Amino acid sequence: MSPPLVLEVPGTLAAVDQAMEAVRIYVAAERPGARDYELCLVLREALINAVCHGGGEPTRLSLWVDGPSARVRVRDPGPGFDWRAALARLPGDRDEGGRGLWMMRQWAEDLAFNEEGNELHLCCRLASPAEEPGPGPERSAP
Amino acid sequence: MIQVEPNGVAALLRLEGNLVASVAEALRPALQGLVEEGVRTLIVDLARAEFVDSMGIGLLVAAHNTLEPAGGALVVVNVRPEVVRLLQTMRLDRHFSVRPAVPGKDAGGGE
Repeated sequence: MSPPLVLEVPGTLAAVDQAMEAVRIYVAAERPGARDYELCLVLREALINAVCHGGGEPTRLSLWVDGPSARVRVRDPGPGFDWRAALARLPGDRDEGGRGLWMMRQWAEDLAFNEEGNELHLCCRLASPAEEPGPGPERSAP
Repeated sequence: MIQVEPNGVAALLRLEGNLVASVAEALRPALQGLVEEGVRTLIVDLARAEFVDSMGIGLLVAAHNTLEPAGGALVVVNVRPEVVRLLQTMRLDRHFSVRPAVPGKDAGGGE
């Protein structure tokens, strides 16, 4: 197994974009042609949360490929948050925020916080090109 | 990063990449300014957006929440299939118009 990708992500939203570029390059090298879309959706939300809760300090991201999935650990330097309450809350259609965790739950295979809420473990499936789902509207076509 | 083509009560916002947190943060005051100038129909072209994240969605919802009570509308056009699916999963296509990209048509060079 290759060594994991370990990044110190500075506490800015622009740094999230740069980290996601690095993640895609790493995953493409580990699993050429694999579909990383869901991983990107989920991890982007995890990093945004970490940056927003981290008080401007860097977040540590570790990512490795384990069989058909990518595993991720995101540790921010903040005090954490009440993730149980946040996970229980469903965003309303007209809410302007509060969708990040919901999106992570929707597209991650597995998601777990530490007690404090400042460390997150994620698992996201990397589909091979053969099992890549087609675009939504076409999927029901015979 | 963006092109805004104001034309009286309508404006076209053409994104040159993803509608994600870093971009949404910068766009928010610009959109607010358009509405204050009298824009009531905002067309957002997502041809080049492979990803829309929660803060990008928040920006679209904020635009919808501002425009609709003023008798206006938000229209999101040239939306890629993955992003269409995302907006449908969030049930946002019930609130504003989401028009998928036409296959085969120029997607804005973002592929």
